[in-house]
Amino acid sequence: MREAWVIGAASNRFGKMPETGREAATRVALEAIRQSGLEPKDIGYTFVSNCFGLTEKQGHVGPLINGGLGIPEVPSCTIESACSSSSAALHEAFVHVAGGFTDAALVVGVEKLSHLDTLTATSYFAEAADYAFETKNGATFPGLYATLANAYQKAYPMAPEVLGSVAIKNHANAARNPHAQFQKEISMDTYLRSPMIASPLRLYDCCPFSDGAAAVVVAAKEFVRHPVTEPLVIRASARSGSITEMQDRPDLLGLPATRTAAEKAFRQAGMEPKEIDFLEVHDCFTIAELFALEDLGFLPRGTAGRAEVEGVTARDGKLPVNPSGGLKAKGHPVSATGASQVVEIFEQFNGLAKGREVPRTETALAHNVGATGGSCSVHIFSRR
Amino acid sequence: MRPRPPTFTKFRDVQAEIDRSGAAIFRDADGVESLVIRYPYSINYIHSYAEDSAFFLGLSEGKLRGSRCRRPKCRFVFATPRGNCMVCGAPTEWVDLPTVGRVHSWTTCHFGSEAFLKETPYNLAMVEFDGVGSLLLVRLKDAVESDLYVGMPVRAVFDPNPKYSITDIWFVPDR
Repeated sequence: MREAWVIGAASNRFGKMPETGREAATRVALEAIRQSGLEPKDIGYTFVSNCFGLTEKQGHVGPLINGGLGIPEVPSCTIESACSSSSAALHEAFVHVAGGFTDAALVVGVEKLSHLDTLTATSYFAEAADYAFETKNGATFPGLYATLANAYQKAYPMAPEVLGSVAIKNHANAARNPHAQFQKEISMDTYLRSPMIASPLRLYDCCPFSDGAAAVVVAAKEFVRHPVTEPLVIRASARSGSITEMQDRPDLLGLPATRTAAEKAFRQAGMEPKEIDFLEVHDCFTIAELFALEDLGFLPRGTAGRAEVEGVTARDGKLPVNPSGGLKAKGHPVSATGASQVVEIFEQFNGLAKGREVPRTETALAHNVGATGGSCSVHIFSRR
Repeated sequence: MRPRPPTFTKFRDVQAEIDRSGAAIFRDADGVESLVIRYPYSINYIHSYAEDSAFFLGLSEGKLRGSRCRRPKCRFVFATPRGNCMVCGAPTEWVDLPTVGRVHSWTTCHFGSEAFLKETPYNLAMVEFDGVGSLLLVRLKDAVESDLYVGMPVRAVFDPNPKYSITDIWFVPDR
């Protein structure tokens, strides 16, 4: 297996994009390629993620992006894994590059949802759940994660301020991230006054609907030789799955797919959690950040809330978590999210995360979950 | 000839104009102007329930059916129709489930998709049954948020006008 590097990563500002998904995707792809020092013609394969492209009446978006990049002969395909789509695409790119099938691969995640009203968007999001048994029963994603939260709450009682501290921390980070949808801080008072969406989850526990696009260039070490950026060495690219319906899982205290993906990733990297400097984790709801910290093996079960309240996960804390602002505040354009986590890590490694720098940037981990944990990707990066 | 649609710099204003006239021009921060239009479409989804058919027919007859693994060493019982065991992969057989159980976890949804918006706030519960290895996600009616707790006894109610959907069953407090 060859060593694979991330040598370019770019994102637009999440929120509302007036343009179509394919246009936004082409733009960020060009930016990531330009940054990598490569030319579009160096790309050997394009992996695209675009879960809700059909709401734009557009599938098969890879050839359109490649056409826009001037490389129409380059193969492409679309990778779908719900909210973990572009980390799944990154995994495919890693497999192709590390396996020697491609010297350089492009990963593009893009989503446009703002043309849908909230009701329609909620319905589309719920399609990543089990349609006949969850979605048609009135289960929304806030509803499903709220059910997990109540089960966790029963086992490990916590005050509302615990989840609130996750939201406040992530908003504070997003306030310093030009890619973020919500570039503003919130107070505990704002959090506690926000309306209940699905108890115990309030409005500020939930990530927003977002448009956005992010792209990553992965290339073989031998192919790059003299990188123009500080590359992220992909030390592990691991994926896992679990029963998608929560009703069929052995317990509701976290996400089993995160546990198995993390075990694989740390084994692949030959590393332990204590060797990781900072994390980008999948906080689609505040409770999910607690699950991530425990399931990834950074904290014992039932203790993540306390760590959040004590500031361990703050940007200048012992273990910075979501310096980008996370899904909660940076935004969650479903198929762009996994790639955008890598954009944050790339910017931190390259000194481009102005005003939101974390203290140490030798190693980092990205954790991206599909739906309620039917899928999970964990990537571990280090410097050369 | 149609007059040129009006130009806006805020996308919110573009959407309002689209609602009014069907077209508008958006000018972005770089001064680039794009024509914005609307194209509605809808879908009727026709599908079979295949091996899950007996579950939905059962609901219409007032019966709650689960699945039991046929492998003697497994015999795991699911509260949902599962043609193959999710623990060991062996084929399953139908089994009648109890119609009383307890709340394992719950939430009250203050917002929902269009089909459920009229019912908000509504409760969702994961129900556990004696002798069954997995949970059943249901709506829990005749109870308000402050009534709900983990361990609450509940019983099944079947829709007298079934639609062959999971909504043909819901649970209520078993007082």
